[in-house]
This record gives sequence, C-alpha cells and structure tokens, in this order.
Amino acid sequence: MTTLLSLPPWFPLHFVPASNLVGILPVLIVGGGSVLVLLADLAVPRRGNLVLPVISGVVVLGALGTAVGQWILNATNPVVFNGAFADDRFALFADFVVLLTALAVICLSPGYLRRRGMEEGEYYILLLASLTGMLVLSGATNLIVIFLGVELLSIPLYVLAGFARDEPLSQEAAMKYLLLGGFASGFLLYGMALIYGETGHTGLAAIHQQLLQGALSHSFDPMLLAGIALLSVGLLFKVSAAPFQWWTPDVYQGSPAIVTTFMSVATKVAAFAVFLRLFSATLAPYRSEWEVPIAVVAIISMVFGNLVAVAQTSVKRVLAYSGIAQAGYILIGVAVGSPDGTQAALYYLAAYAFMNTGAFAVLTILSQRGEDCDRYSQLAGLWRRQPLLAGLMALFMLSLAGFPMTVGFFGKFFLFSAAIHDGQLPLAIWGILTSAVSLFYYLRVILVMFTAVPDADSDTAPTLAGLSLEGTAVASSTAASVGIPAGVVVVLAGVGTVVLGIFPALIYTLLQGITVVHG
Amino acid sequence: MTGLFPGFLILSAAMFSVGAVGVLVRRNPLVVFMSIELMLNAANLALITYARYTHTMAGQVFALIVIAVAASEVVVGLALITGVYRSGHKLNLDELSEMSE
Amino acid sequence: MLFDYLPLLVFLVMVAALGVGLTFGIPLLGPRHPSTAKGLPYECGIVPAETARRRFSVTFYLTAMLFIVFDVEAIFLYPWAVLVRSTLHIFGLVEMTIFIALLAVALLYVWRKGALEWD
Repeated sequence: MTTLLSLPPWFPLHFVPASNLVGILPVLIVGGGSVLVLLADLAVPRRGNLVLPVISGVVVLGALGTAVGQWILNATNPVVFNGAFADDRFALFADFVVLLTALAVICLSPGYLRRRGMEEGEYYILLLASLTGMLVLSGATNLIVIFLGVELLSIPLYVLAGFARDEPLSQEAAMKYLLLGGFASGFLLYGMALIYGETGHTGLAAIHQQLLQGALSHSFDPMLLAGIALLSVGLLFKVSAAPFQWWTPDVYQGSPAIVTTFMSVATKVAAFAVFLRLFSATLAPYRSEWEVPIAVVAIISMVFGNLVAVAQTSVKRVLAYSGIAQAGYILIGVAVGSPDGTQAALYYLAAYAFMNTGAFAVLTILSQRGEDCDRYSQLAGLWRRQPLLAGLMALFMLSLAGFPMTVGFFGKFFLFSAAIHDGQLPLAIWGILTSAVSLFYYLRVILVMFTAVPDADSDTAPTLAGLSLEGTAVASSTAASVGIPAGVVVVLAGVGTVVLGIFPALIYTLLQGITVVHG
Repeated sequence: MTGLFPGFLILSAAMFSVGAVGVLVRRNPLVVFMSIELMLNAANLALITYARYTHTMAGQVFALIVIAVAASEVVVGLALITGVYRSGHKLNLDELSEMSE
Repeated sequence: MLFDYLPLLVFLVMVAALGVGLTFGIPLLGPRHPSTAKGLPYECGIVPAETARRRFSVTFYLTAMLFIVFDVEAIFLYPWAVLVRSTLHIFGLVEMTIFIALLAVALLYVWRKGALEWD
C-alpha cells in the first residue's frame, strides 16, 4: 500500500498502517456513505425521489462486496488498530447478515415511506449511521469501541423510532426507547468502568489475560464480577432478553414498521455478535460464574416471550414477544460456550434475519397511509386478496415456529443439539417445550389469513405492484419502481427460508472453523 | 492518592445509584433524562479514578469519548422531548402510555 | 467461596442505602425556613426582572441544542493540541482536518436545512 501511494518519507504513516484502514473498510464505506447521503439530501431537496435510496443501496452493496473480499482474503492477523478492532470471519459473518438486512430494508423503504407519507431524506442518513454502529460493534475488541458502537447504533434508532412525527404511538415509542436505552447505556458503561478498574485494561485480549490469571488461582474478583454483570445487563437490554425486555413490545409496536424491521433484526445481530465475542472468548475463564445466570436468562426469555405472545392482539407485539423468545434461544448458544454453541447462535442469527425480515416486510407492504398493518383483522382473509403475500407470511410464521423444511427448524436444531452435546439438557428441554407453545400464536396468524373473512373496509387495502396477481396496482411506472424491489425482497426472503431449510449446509459450511478473535 | 481512591469510588457509586433510583421513581422525562446523565457521569468519575489508580491513560480517553457521546444523546433526547411536548402531550411518563396490555 | 462475595454485598447495600437515602432523606431531614428572598431565582445577585417560567421560543432550544453538540465535539481538540507538535505531526493534522471537515459538513447541513434561521 505504502509503495503504491508513494508517500514522502516524512509522512508518519506508521501511526495508521494502511492495513488498519483496509481492516475497517466496510465501516468506512458505510460511515462515509451516510455523509454522502447527507450531502445528497441537500443537493436534491425534492421529496420522494429515488436518489437517496439508490445511493444508500449502492453504499451498502459496496460494503457487502468489501466484506466478501475480506472473507475470501482472510487476513492472517485480522486484528487492527492495536487490538481495538478485529475483522475476523466471526465479525464478517455478522456484517453479512446486518448488511443484507439493511439492503432489504432500503429496498422496502421508498414504497413504505411513500404510502405512509414520511419521505424525509433524514431517514436514509440515520439508517446508514445506525448501520455504521452495527458494523463497528461486530468487530469491536476494546471496551471503548464497544461503547462507541452501541451508542452509534442506538442514537439514530431513537430518532427513527419516532420518525412518524404525527403519530402519538411513534412519539411514545421514541421516548421510551430513548429513556430505557439511556438507562441501559448507564449500566453498560458502569460495568465497563469496573472491568477497566479491576484489570487496568480496556482491550479484550488484555482483560482475558487478567481473567486467566485470576481463574487459575480460583480467586474470582467480586468487583470484576459486578462489572461483568452490569455490562451483561446493558447488552441483554439491547438484545431484548427477559427480564430486560420492558421496552421491546411498546417500541416495536409504536415505531414505523420499516424501522421495526431494521431494529428487530440488525440490532439483535450486532448486539449478539459482541455478546458472543465477550462471553465465548474474553470471559471464558470466568465461565463457571456466568454460565448459570445466562442460562437462567435464556429460560426466562423463552418462557416469558412465548407465553405473553399468546395473549397479544397486535401483530407487531406478537412479533416483539416472539423476538424476546428468539433472544432466549440464541442465548442458549452463549450459555453453551463451546465453538458448537457459537456457530449455532450465528446460524440462528442468519436464520432469524431471513424469517423476521420477511415477516415484517409483509407488514410494511400491507401498511397504509396513517397506520401500520398491525391488527389481526387487517390480515383477515389476506389469502383471498393477495395469495402470494399470505403464503409467504405463512411460511415465515412456520419458520419462526421451527417447522421442518424451513430455516428456523435447523436454527433451533443446531442450538438444541449444541446444548445437549455440552450436557445442558435442561436448556434444550425448555427450548423444545416453549417452541411447542409458540406454535399456538404463529398458527393463529396463519389461521386468520386463510380462514377469516375480510372486513368491509379492508377491501380497499392497496395491492402491491408486481405482487398482486391481478396487477391492479400498477398505476404508474413510479409505483412499480418502488413496488418491485419490495416484492423481490419478500420473495427472496421466502426463497432463502425454504432453500436454507432444505440445504442448511449452505450457511453451516461457512461457519465451520470460525474462531473468535479478541485482539 | 491511595487514601482518596475509595472515596471517589464511593462518590461515583452513590451518584450512579441516585441516577438509577431517579430513573425509576421520577415521572418527568426531563428529570429522568438528567438522572441518566448522572449515571453516565458517575461512570466517568469511576473511569478517571481508576485511570489514576492503575496509572493508565485508557480511562481518561474513555471519559472524553463518553462526554462527547453523552452530549449527542442529550441533544437527540431533548429534541425528542421537545417534539412530544409540541405535539400536545403532557410531559408525564405515566400519561405517555397509549400502548399497554 | 461465597464469602468472596461479601465485600460486594456490603458495597451493594451501602450504595443502595446511599442512593435511596440521598433521594428521599434530604427533603425529610433538611431544615426548611422558606422566605421570599430564598424563593427568588438566583441571577448573579441581580433582582430578577420577571418570572423565569415564561415561555421561550422553541428556536432558542434548537439553537442551544446545536450549540451543545458542536461545543462538546471541540473537547477532542484539547488533547490533540497538546500532542500535535510533539508526536502527531502531519498525521495528526490530517486526522484533525478530517474530523473538522465532518463537523463542517454537519454545520452545512444544519444551515441549509434552515435550523439557524430565527424565524
């Protein structure tokens, strides 16, 4: 790199070797992209054009391509910036999932924003800013960088949650997310302060060394444990695991559906990436101390999420509680702690991205002006109106429930078998029992779509250009240009859900041999 | 220095607890927000105390970054609160609950 | 084994007691001798001209919030200024230029969006 650029000898490039910048290239691309979109928003002030989504999509595609390149090249020493950031395959896999989700959301956005009447350029700026935070988080190997990533991810999302400015529910969601998110950040940061104070380091590798020494002499520093506990509370909040889930249902319901799509999938993936890195690598020496609490949180999340979801009347709330339950399943992979568990958790995150993005995408497509598609009655008789959408939604519901031949089945299968291999039979049993409960509310959504008769007023629901078999909604070429990408996203999510449900090896072989580096 | 060290830590822990209790018991979003800031600043005090204690710089760098991040959070938070206020809501978290079980 | 956690427990109890005590104790224990002079808002010793609770234009809050952001970002200039001559040299200059450029882009955005207009 240095020879290519032929820099003068007095230029002290040794501070930031070029390899460092190459290592964080996806972050740089997306971060720079958000500045680019910001400037583009000034240059093209007309509302509702497709310039901003196209730029955002190209930026995310570029980052995705770079990440694929990094995966293929597979740097021998993936740690850059003095151990503050790792672009190992673990981080890159999380990057893939997050970037693909973001791409799907960007494809869905123009049509959704137009129907809901909130086409503001800020939307794409904030989306890319939050995405930058997620990419930072997936590779962070230093407490300072983890904190920066968490905040960079969260702060734009607070605004996005309240993006439907005229709707009280959206405002309420933003306020709750902000206050409870800030509360969790406080715990996270205080935990980090205690860990730093007891070890004298912020780098995860150095902290790991200190923990190893402590664990060898069987003396577990209580202040350090308190730090780990507070840090975990902060992160468990972000992944919305019970009992730290208070915010989830309200924020998921109140936020615009498109924001909920992004928030529920991408945030969870990024937060779980740092969670897995911390617990499977850095904090491994203290495993005897954290194994039981994490397992208990996993069980509480599975039981609480699945049981409460049964009683919900809002589809978004059902998916929120289902998200809490899914966080519980993924925590099984963390509690198991073995490489098997980490791989199973990563597999489940990828599976979750496909099925949850798909399910929320159907909701965004069905959302009309003034309100999101959220009540069961709005889904009633969807089969007669839009057979393809109804079929895909049913597929996503079955996959979330863990039906065979869907990606969700193998997600759960790998997690439970990892738990059994590790001798943690109770976790697997709780997982299977609660999955059985979850069938109830997932099947209810399907039942409503296929049997119930639609309301008189919902006959006017918009049919999607390119998706509706009658083709009635193709009013103009612009309607099609925003409708077709959205349709393609849902269909692709459906195809992915089935194909990966039949050939799980497609992803699982990628995961073989992923080792978690921590600086 | 060693004599002062636990004192600062206890002060920081007390600030953190006052902040956490404040979030839980107060109902005005502005006061809740101030309590959150108190928690962050308690963590800052702990970071700087530990930086002195361990003779490392990382804590001070961390504290600087926390200050900048907290400022961004404040601005976004105040903007949201102003927005809620202007759209006619009363600034009381108990009344701000249209979504419930 | 469990005994190791005793200091932690003591710490937690102490911290919780302090938090609750300070929050609820002060209004209970503090002596109260309200008088007109004490009730007045303190403004550098000058007698306040009117009530402090009057409504401010929302533009004031907007400007104040924007000021806070740009003001606090400037703290990164201080450690940089200490080190730029001695260790960072050109690299530090380039790095800080990028940082300031990002802030400038943000300012440009705020300006063009009309957030600096008073009316």
